Amino acid sequence: MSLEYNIEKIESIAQKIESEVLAIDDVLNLYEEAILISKDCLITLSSQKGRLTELNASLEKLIIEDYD
Amino acid sequence: MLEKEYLTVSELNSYLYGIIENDALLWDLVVKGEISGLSIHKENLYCTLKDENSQISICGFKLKQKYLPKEGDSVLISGRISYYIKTGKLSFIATEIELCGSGKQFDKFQELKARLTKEGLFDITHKILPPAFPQNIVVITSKEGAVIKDIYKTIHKNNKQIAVSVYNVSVQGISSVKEIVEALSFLDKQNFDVIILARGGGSAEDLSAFNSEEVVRAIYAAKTFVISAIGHEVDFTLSDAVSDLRCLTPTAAGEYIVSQYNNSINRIFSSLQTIEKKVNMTIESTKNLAINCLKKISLIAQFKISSEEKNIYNLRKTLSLINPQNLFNKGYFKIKKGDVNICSVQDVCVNDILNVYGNKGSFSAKVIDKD
Repeated sequence: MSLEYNIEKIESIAQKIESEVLAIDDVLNLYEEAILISKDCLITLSSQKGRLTELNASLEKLIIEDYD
Repeated sequence: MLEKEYLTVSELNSYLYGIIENDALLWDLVVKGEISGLSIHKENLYCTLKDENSQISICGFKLKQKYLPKEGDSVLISGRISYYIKTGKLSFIATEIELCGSGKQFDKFQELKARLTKEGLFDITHKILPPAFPQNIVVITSKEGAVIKDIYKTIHKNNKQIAVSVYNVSVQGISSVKEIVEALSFLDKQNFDVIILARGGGSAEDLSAFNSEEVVRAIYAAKTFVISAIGHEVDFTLSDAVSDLRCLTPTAAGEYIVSQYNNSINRIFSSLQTIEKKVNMTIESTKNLAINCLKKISLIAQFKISSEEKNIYNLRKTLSLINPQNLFNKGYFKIKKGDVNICSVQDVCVNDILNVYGNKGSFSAKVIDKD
């Protein structure tokens, strides 16, 4: 699933827990699900940050080579 | 073998001199003809006197007369024949010159010029444009003369890529007109880039073939670019007027060919340099545009990642606030009867065994009493 989809999922879980009267087990289950999804999101973001760093390094190299 | 009897040149010339000097008929003559190739220096006059079939050199020393002859004048010249032993040259020494009307030759020339002008043969609109790359040249001239050597040397000194051929003709004399016309007609079909019609300097008679109607029309009819380079700078013939370009001398014709070729090469190189410069500028500006775009994209990506990170951390904060564990930490318990969650007192009865879950563990309890 895409990052945007997962974030929307977490938001909808939070809204559900806040607005609905749920059994405690259900709340715990939803909470656990939201936490797991947010972990995945953070892992994905971390990976994207790494890619961006690599791309920036390539761009810098391109600019330096050009001036050479 | 018997040796032939012979005279030396000096003996022959002396003999001729004797005949001429001793012939009284030749001491005092009046000759009629047309002035041509006139040259006057102080009181001395030099020219050629001619008629339709013949000519003779005229010298006049310290002539004192009111009438000064002009080119083409028909005149009566009084004087005597002279033979110069050293050079073997015969000339007429003039003592007096008088006018007897305009020469026929001159009149004929003027009439021809007017007629051809009226026909439009000399119009500038008829001139062919020069070829950009004259690589294959033919020169119509005498192969014995210095002209072809001058042209060849001038061209090849500067550019060995240009091929120069020569088509031999008589440039003066009885057969010259026919030969020149045939040469022009033939060479016009041979895919040369340029035809140069050239000869060195000479008298008006020497250059007469280039004033003939036949040669003028042959040049006019040619589809190949024709350069005329006839005589010296002061000589201007009808061939010069009708050709596509007149060069003052044969050497100038060679120089023109080289400059035309070199100018075209230079124009091409200049255009190529302009194109190269433009292409490099375009590449440079496109590259800079791409780099700037990439930098912008990088900034946007960084911002988006940061933004999503913040969003997720905020959501986690929100989730932690609604974490059910917080209720346990506040002293709330979850009660179950078997697998069923107890949400109300009405769900329990006295003596029920209940499972109680709270912070850090759970226990069992029995209902003793209820309200």
